[in-house]
Amino acid sequence: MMNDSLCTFAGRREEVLVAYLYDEADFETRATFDRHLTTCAQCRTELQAFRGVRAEMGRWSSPELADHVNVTFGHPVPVPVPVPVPLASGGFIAAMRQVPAWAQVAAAMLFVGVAAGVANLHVTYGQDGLTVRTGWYQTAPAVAAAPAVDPSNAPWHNDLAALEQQIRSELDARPVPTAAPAAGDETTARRVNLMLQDSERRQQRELALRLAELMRDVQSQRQADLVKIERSLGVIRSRTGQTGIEVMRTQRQVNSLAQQVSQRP
Amino acid sequence: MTLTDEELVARSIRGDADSFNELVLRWERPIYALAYRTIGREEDARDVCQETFLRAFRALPAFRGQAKFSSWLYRIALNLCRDWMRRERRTPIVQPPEDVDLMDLATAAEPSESIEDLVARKDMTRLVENAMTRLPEEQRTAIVLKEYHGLTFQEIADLMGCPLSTVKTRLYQGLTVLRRELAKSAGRVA
Repeated sequence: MMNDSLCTFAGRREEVLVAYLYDEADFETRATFDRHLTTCAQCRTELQAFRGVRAEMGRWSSPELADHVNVTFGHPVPVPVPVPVPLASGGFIAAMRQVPAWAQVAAAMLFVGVAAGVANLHVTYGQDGLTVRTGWYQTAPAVAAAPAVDPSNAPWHNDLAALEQQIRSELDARPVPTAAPAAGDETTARRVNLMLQDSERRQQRELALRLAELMRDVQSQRQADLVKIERSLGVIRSRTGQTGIEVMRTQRQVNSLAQQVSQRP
Repeated sequence: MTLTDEELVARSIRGDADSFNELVLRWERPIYALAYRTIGREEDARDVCQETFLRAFRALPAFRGQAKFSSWLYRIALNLCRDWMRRERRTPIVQPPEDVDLMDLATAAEPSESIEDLVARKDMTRLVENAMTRLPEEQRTAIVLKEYHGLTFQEIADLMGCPLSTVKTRLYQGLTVLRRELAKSAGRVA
């Protein structure tokens, strides 16, 4: 007759029983417990009961997933890598996005300089003030040369020669002028240089302003496009995510209605 | 050739979105089943499942392969379940399956299983679900991981952050409670 008294297993009985139940006991422990089971009704009963519980638990299945988990992965790389945009897909504006601002300003200034060289600009300062004009102006057509005349036989030749001699002698007798006119030339030259520099600075500032405006417009247009794209993606995600839940809710309602109908006499 | 989880993880870290999607397809059902059996609500379990993969994706670069990928996923899912239960401040309410639906019965019954047997099986499922709600969180988690996901004692201990002996004790106590509850319910049904 089997002994129904309390278990006398020497050791951590509960842990060994569970390890035995799930077949995770080592060889020695298993052999020891096997021997113990031959003499202990309590352990045998409990082991059998736990096996029954496991069998019942095996009947509990989780509901099926209505649809796959909706996890949207755009660019899964940990560090975002900029994707170069070909010219064909966005043109000059798309290519401009990839170039730093300072490089764009430098390129624009180079362009202006080359354009000025091509235009062959001439800057002069005279009685009419500062004048800037291109060098590509047409000269007046050459006047037709007069027919050559032999002056030695002209009746007025002697008179002309005498007059020339008289003017030369008068010029030689005139005193040498002072340095005042030279200082005036230097001042004028300095003023012209200052005006030129001022003009260049104004042109550069204006160019930089125009480039900054252009960049701002490009950037804001890009941001607007990105926002539009994000909104479109959000609409698609929300529609997809809700579809599975709505189907499940509808199915429950149909089940409930079917039950009510089936229960009517 | 089927790639291992570790190979798919390595590809995902290098930027292959398809590899991570493959991991999602491979593990979404077990993770969902774990979440459902732990917290007992279908829609919340689905949310936990989705959040698990989102967190896994974000933390993927930090995954060094020190544990199995599945164990790592389970840990994330269990933490989310725990957070859910603490947020809800209540034990999970396991929703028993909908009452008998004739269409379901017609399509679900095995060839050798009568409708009465199927109804009995569904009743037993409900009993098991109700019995599980009686368990404390730690015991229920240990039983779910062992019974439905086949984890070893050591894996469960690593996931739950407790000693090996504690896992065995929790399993023993959980099975004891289930045995009592199922016997009680079966007595009422009979």
